[in-house]
Amino acid sequence: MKGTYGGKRREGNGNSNNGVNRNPNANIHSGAFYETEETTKTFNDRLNYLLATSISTEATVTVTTGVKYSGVLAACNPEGPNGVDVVLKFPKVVDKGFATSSIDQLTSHLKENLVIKGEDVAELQLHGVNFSGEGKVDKEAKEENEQKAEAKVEFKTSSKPAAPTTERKIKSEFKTDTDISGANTVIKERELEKWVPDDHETFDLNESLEDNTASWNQFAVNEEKFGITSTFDEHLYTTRINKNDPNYSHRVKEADRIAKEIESQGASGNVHLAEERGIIVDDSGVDEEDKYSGVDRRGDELLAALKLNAKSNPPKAKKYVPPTLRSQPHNADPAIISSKAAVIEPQATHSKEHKNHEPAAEGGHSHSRKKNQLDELKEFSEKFKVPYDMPEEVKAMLKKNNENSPKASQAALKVNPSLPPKPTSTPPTNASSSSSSKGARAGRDLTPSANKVELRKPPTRMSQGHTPVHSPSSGRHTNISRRRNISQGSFFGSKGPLASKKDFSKNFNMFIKGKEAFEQSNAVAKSKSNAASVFVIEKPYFTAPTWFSNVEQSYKTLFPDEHTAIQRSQMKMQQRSMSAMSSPGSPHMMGVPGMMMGMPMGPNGSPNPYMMAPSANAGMYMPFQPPAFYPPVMQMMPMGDERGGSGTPPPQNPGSPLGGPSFMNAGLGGPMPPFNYSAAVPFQPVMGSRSFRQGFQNQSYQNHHNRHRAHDR
Amino acid sequence: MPVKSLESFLFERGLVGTYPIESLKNASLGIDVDHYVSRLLTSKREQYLDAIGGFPTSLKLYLESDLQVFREYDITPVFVFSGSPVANQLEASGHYAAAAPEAAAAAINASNSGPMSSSATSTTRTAKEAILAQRHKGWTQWNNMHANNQSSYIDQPIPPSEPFKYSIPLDTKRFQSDLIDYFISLDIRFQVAPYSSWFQLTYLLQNEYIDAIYGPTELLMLSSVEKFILGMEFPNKEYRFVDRTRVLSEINCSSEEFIDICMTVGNDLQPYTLSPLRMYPVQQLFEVALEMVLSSGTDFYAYQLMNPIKNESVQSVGRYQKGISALKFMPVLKENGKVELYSPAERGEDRTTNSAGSPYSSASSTASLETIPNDVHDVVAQRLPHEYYFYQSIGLVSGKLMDAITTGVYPDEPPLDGGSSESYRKLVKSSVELFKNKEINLLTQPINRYYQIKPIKHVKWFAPDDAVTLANRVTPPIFDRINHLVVKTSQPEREFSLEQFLSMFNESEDLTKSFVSDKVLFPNSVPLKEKLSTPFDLLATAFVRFLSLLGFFDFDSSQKILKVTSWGRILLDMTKIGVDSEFIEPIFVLLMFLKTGVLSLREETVPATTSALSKATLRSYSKESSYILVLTRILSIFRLQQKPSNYHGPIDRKTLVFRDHLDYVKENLNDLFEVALVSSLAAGEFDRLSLDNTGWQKKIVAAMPFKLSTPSTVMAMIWQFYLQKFLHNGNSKSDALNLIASTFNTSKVVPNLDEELKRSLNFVRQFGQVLGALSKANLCEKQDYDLVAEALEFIEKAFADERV
Repeated sequence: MKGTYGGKRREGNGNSNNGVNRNPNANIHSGAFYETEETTKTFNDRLNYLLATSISTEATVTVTTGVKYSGVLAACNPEGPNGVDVVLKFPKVVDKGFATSSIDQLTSHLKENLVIKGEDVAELQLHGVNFSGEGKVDKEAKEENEQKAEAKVEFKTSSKPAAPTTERKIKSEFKTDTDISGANTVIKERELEKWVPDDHETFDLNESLEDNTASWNQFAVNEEKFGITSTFDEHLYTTRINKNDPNYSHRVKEADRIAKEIESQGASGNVHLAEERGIIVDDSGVDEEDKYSGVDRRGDELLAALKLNAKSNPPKAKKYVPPTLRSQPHNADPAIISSKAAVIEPQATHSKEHKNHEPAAEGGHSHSRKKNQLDELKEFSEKFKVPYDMPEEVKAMLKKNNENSPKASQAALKVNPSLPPKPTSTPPTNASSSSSSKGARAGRDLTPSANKVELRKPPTRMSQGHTPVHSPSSGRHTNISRRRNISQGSFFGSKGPLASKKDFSKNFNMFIKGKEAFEQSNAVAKSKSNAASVFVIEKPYFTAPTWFSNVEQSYKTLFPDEHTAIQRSQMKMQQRSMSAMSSPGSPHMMGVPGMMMGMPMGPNGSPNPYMMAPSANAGMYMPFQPPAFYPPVMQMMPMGDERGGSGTPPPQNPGSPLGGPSFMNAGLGGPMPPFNYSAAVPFQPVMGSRSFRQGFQNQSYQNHHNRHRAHDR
Repeated sequence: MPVKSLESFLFERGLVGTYPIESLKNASLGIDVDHYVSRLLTSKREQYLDAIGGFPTSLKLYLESDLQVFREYDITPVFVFSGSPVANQLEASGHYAAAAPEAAAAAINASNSGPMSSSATSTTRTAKEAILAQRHKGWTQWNNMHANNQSSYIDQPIPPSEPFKYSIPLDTKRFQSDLIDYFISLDIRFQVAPYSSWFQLTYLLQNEYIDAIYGPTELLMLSSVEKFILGMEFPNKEYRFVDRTRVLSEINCSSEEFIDICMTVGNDLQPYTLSPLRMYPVQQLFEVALEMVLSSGTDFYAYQLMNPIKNESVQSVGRYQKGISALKFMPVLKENGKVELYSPAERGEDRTTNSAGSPYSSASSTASLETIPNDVHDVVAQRLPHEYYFYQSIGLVSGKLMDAITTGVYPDEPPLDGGSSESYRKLVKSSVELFKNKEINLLTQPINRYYQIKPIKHVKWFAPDDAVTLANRVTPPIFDRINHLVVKTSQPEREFSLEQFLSMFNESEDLTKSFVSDKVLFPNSVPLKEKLSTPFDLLATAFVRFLSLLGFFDFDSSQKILKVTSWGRILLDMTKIGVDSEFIEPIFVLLMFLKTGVLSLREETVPATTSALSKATLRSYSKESSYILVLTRILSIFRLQQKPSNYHGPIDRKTLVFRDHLDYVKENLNDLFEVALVSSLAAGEFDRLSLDNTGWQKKIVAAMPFKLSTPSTVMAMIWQFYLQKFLHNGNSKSDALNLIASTFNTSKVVPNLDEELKRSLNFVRQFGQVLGALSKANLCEKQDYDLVAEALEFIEKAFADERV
């Protein structure tokens, strides 16, 4: 292999294809063209590999004066500023080139090592590089220009035995374990002995571990039998329970209460849960699959929801964060805010000293900063949705606080950025573990309370952003603890359920209602002193077989005739395409300005699944692109630059086959980034197939070639 | 039937929100039964239901646990059943031709109905066809399996491999009465809508009878429903809801475009998938249609009009128009007890939103939402009196006959087994004389004259072209012939049951004196206290008229003499020979079946159906096999007391064929009794103001006989395989019991199996006695009785045997 490593080395080198070259005589011209970082890297890797493999083999270096040195390549530095620095051992002069002095003269200057700086190296020729352990790579070099290289590479398979330094003959075939270990091939058989239990080890065959009533202390036995003293201390693994604490009994009670509460929640509907809790359930009629394995399909929505949740949530639009606050971690993570709020709350309610300190600390911050925090929280509360009402106890607590010292509690509710976000550090540890856990619970429930106002107006909220979709798996436990406190969510809006008291037994009954109506009119009539006679139930034969109508027209006349319908349809088509024009950014014509159609507008900026469609579409090609073989094409692709950066491919298209080919075509004419689709679409049908890859590769070849030629001229 | 593929679309797009069930606390929740049941009985559940018949017992299991959750949160459920189908639904369900084309197509295309074929064919085939095809396929598979196992199969029955139900929700109508009975027994509110259940729910919601709707995706088409619940996840204590505004804005669709799409992909009101969507797989219909609208502003109505295939164009334009019109002019049962159109204006749907670009309202300048055309009856159905709709709403009538008189077609569709037997077809034909003429006459007599002269055809699936016009006009009208028959006990607390009825008759010295009234009760001039006042009197009066129509009594209306016929004698004697009260109804059904004379108990059906008994049994125990045959036939109407379960076990087509006979008889008995009752009510013989809705339901609907669906064949099969095992295993009872326990999973499903076996044995004994009386009176063939007597001996021996 031969290359020129001048100052332009970094610009890349196109002869990367020789690894798979099926055409040994092809001359590949590579010019100085722009490479993406990744491509360059792969080339560099190859070069590094080549150089590393060539160490200790023979090399010929031509320096800029034309003198050729050959010797054993001792070292080289590909990171050099002006090319590859080379160290040759036992150098000798092969060709004096244009040098005025003779070869002998030159040779006399040489010592054991010859260091050639990168800027002096005109050409580096490596002989007999062995890439694989078999065969050698023969390279010829021919200098043409300092900035161009032309390589002719030939593989001569196994024309030369492998490096003679290895003692063992390298087997080319697969080696077994025995080969590697070099073990003796003679296999001895061992005498098999019958196992006889020791006397003390006799046991009944039917005995099981549980049958042994004697207590078993593994540590004691271990010590007795083997003299091993265990250093095991269970407190290394658990929290030590302070049984001497004065509040111990109280806390045990509290823990019991909580445990009971959880256990008493009933496992309604979930047979498996009930079974785990040891409740005997009547599970007849439920087969094993339903019980343990099958998904409860009462509502296939569960499955769909799982699917939904499995999909990575679309990245949220970045919201603006004031520069002063950017360093603070909680700005990024709502969970931290809530946990902070959770931490601070108990302080406000449980420890009076803390409460007094808090406002002071808070007071230190500037007003604007506070306001920012507040806005932050507000914004968060708008995004963060918990469909629960505030628990009664918290409500009461809040109220109390507000009455007592509105400022203090308000401040406590706010995030205090000076506090560490670690919740455990605040309450005094062992002494009040139960109270702190209680506080934390209350605190967690408090978060939704901040959204109280928000929760009361669901319709507006529903139309923007995401609905609170819970992942059934993750939500389960938290829900259990929360559930107790929830009275009603916001499904009904502020009214809450109000019906249910209406009478079904009297209404919808034509006899009773008829009589009521009759009595009413009768009462009116009576006042006019011409009382009607008895109430008679309407005879069924009064009812005509047709429904009430107010026009002598058929329902069909309410529909437009063919002409009108087609006209209107064309109008609609125009409207749709016009609205599509107005939003060139989205090829799927979303984000249509509402006024055009007189229809509600899509939520702005909310991660609409539709919005993702185009990028997802583009993303579909990604996995199929052989990374090293398409540089010229990639250059044209606008998304080439994001390719190296983000390691996460865009999520798969959420709606399965967004548009058949016909829609693709429909989209083609539309106003979209010109290279996105037009370049990509034709490849789609054959994507991933072998023939496609080859075609693709050839094409890139072609591209190289043509490019180079163009450059030549 | 929901909007095709919309639901999964909503979930995929994340347009479905979640709330905990808590948030429904104290609320009233209106539940669409069709939607709810389709949620509970998914395709995996009750796969063999159509092979054994009866009520899907596992439904009760799910219902119970769901109701428990409702109780926990003080949620009041209000179940709303759908009522009569509208014109499009009738067409799609094959009403007019008794599903004959569907049955034919199903027989041909059964092979490609499998779970894997979701291709274009499934878009175009109707739900009915898919159901029939799946049954057909199930039986074919089972027959093949049975034939393949002939050599190895001796006494261990083989469970079927192919499900008999696939993906299409069960028709709730089939067991509506069972559900109603269940709801009444638990004091749960329910209502049968006159037409579409989700419209009725919308009305209830708007008038604040309920707080929320648990219903199908069609509700998205109604702008008056802001949001509704799409699914309940009881294990998670969560529910899923859909917000209409949000959905429309996220999919960037106007209301009209959305409705346009729904009408084209197919929904409850327009069940067909119209072109150009017919070529797409069902799962993507909505998505594809939406894409068409978004990318090119497709107007599907215009597309239908422009469809170059003229036939299809006319048809789909018609269907589309009917669908849209049904959406606009759907009748609901209103607060005041009247069934009236529930127009968009009344629903409070804004006029302006509908006018722009709407495919239907901007047509002519005169058209506004207030316009109600004069042919809504073509879109919905012809109108019946409010009173009839009321009886339907409380579950007193099933509505099948009401549909028959509004549509002019009384269809008889293929039964579960396919109905290939001659005797079944004979039974269907004879039902015209026995039941249908009388029913139609009784039902149309009190109502508009139009119905009295309207020809109503009986259409059979096996001979759709050979429709029989029912004799609507008879002189004197049937009602005049029977209205002197009156039972007046005036015991307000007495509950009606067949046993009570029979013993009352047996106590009577002179039937004519006791049960024939000199004057008729219906005129308004008759004072209220002389009319029927108690539920017992009402039901007993209807029943005696019903029996006289069936020939158990002979009533000479001119002479006013009531006599018992020989059949009636047998019936009345049933209490004397000690038939248990619970067995009176099934034995009565069997009696009625024998009275039709289409098939005797020992006769093989033509063409014969393969028995589930093994070849070995049939060959070596031919006598016993015939015993088993009659026993299974008798037992096929025995109601097994079992726990709710999802049946997985052997099936037997032969028993099912016979059960279908009995089922048909029973259904017709039910129809006739309902009609006898309604005719009495509509004539004004009963003080209809004395009861409120709850009273009607509890005291009348719950006490009506023949309401519950015919039992499944499980008990018959249990005995069948018990006896087979018993024969092969050296007459060992315990072996046979073990086999039953393992094959039918009885330890879980029938915990007190022994008791059930005894009870069923008792049933056979008592029927044997009745049959003996019949044979004595020469009302049945003697061989029948002899065979049953021998079979009884055999079964007694097999059951008593304790030789281990």
